[in-house]
Amino acid sequence: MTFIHNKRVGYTSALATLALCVTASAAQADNFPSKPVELVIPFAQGGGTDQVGRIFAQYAQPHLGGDIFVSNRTGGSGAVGFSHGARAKPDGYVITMIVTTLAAAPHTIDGYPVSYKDFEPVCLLSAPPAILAVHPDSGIKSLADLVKKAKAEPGKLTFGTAGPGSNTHLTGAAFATQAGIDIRFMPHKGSGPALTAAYGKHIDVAIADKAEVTPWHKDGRLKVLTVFSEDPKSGFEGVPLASADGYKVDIGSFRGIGAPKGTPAATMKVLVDACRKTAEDKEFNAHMEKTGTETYALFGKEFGTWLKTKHDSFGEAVKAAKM
Amino acid sequence: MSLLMEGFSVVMELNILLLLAGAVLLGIVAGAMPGISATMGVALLSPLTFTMEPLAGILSLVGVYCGAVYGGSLSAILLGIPGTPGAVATTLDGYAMSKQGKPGIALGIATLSSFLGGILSAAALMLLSYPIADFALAFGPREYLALAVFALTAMAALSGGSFLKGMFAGFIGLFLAGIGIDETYGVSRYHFGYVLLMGGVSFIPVTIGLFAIPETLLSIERIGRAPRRALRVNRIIPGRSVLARILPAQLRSSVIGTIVGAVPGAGSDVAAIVGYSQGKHMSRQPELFGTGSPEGIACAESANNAATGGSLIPLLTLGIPGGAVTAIMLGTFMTHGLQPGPLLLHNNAPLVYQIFAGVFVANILLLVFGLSGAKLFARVLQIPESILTPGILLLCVLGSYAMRNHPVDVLIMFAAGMVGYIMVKTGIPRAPLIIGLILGPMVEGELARSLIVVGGEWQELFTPISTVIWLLVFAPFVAPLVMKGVRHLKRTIKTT
Repeated sequence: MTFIHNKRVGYTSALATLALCVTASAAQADNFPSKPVELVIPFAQGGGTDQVGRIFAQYAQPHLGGDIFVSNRTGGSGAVGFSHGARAKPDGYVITMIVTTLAAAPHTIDGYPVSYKDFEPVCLLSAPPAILAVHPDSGIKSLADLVKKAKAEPGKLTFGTAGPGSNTHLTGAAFATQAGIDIRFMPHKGSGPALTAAYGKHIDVAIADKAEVTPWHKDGRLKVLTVFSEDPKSGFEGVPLASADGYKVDIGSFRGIGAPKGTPAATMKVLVDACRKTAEDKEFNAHMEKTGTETYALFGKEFGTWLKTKHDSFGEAVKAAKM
Repeated sequence: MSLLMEGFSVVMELNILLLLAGAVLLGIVAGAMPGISATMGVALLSPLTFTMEPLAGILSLVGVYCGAVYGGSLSAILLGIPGTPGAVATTLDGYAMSKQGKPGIALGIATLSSFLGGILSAAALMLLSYPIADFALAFGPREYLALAVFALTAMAALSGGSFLKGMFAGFIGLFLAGIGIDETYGVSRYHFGYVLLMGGVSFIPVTIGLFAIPETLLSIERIGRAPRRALRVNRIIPGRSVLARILPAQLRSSVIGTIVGAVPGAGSDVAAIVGYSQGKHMSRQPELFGTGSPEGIACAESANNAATGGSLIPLLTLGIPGGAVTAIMLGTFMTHGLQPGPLLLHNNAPLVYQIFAGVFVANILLLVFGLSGAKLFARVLQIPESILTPGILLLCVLGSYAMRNHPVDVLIMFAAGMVGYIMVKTGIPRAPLIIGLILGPMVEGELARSLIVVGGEWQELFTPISTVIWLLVFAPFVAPLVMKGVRHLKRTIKTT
């Protein structure tokens, strides 16, 4: 309870406070994190991104040496959360789940306010390729079968996607262009409902991420025709890769972590290191696998280059899909 | 049968029972807080279940789910604010009854109806899992479209006095639902460049604002006037004649709720809307709906709690989550290395029966907490308005902010509150607006998907299931005309 009687004392103390603030922010990187870190999830509780984010937060805390709390900032196809994360103070205390939408939406939504350029890349956590799945009773046994059927009945086959402009939609469009077929796209609210619709025989083909289809594939409720990847390791045993059939489509989904642009290098190093240790954590990997996602990690600059490539290939895919 | 008995004996073990009781209680509190929905409650709890045993983890989510859906009715009845979207219909009669000085009876009816809906849906879950699951899977876009339109007709039932005013409110709701990026073609509409509007108008802040703010303003109007009569909650269990009158409504709503819950994509909110409007159609005293009718409370509350058991049917038997809550549960199953679906029912039958037993016990706990706590809950009304009103305002701000941690939602809440106050003063009903807002995206999305399916052949919109639902949609309009025609015909025959 001290009142400032003297003007000069007032200025001095104000200056002192200011000086204290400056030194504090300079010293911040050294003792980062000294308070809990917020992990922004731009999508709702219970979804795939939320799940990966929460698992990451749980296992990364000890490696970061501080608490991580999750906040779901949803809306505007991720725009709300991404913008919040990108415009936060670049001190490392607000990090964001950056996912497929960040690469796709800038191309598909007019005035989408944010892109990968607004983030410093911390790490990639998973990058499941897209797949095509059909009902086992459909009689379609292979990709060649599907193309033959689509050519026999142009404009008839329905392909379920996770929504307009999603990577599943763009994958389907790129595939259709390369195969020279005319198909109908049926947007759903996410991959789950699209897979359910294929299982209920309301659509002919579901396009989904590998992570989401894994349980359906395992117990044979759906038949996976192809995996859009060039890496046999990221495919399913016994399922041919699309690249083997001559298709070149690589617009899979991804989930990673980003910090606001301009975060100091020292802080970035702490974040990237924590991420690296988490990605190597056996328990983290086991937990991720249980939810059907394999860890696929890249760090720092390497992730940044990868992100740029993704952003560009989505741009090309959108042009091809004539959205 | 022995599997079920075994299931019960496991669930009745002290640690599981205590956990379940805690979860139900937590759910009731979360549900009663405006802005914290069942989905949020379950989502917030789910990380804690990762480290539990599979049964304990899943049952604690089931407990929170059942508790929260019921808890929404508490604030609906006592404060006129639906605690969860599923309690919008409960507000109409529950709050009216509460204002008539019978909050205890209203709470009692809500508790008994919730319990009955929950227990019956648990029984359906156990006995009918396979047939209902296959039926739910037959729902494609065309069937959903019919179902959504069917639910939309509830606007009329929730209009109160004036049909025209109700439709007006409903169409405002539908218009608000059109704001944001459309889910079929990705076109963004009416967002004026505001990022937050791109995601659409979320209905939680609108619901809170629309229902809560007018109440607080009305209580400010009362300042200086005669103080409110102190309420004494003596009775909770309604009289035998009332119980007998609401039983058919409860049973009918339980069936409706179970089916709507089992259909993927429709949850307890849609169930309550359909249950309430069907209840009004079938009631002998439809004119009492909206004025504090025990039947009205029973219809809404049986239906929304029946949806909890119903939604577990496709989850357990097909591995298909019907809504956000069951999607989180699916995640919990999977983190424990369990994949719900036909295989789980065969390979892990003991666990499945323990879950069945858990749903039963959760609903019994709900009854116990509801009846024993009713007097305590109703005490809220004894708090002087000068303290209660600011408290409610605080909860409104917190609830609308918590949704997605954004201050704009608080502004939306206040704006909706202003509109709500005008609606109250001009006698325009508020519930149809919420119905339009909740169902708008569903109707639009399913219509777009249906049109893609039929590809211009409109006759193909009518599948066997959808035709039945469309007939139900039009029956209330056509039936009176047909009856009039028949009577006219009879008279003409007689006179000639």
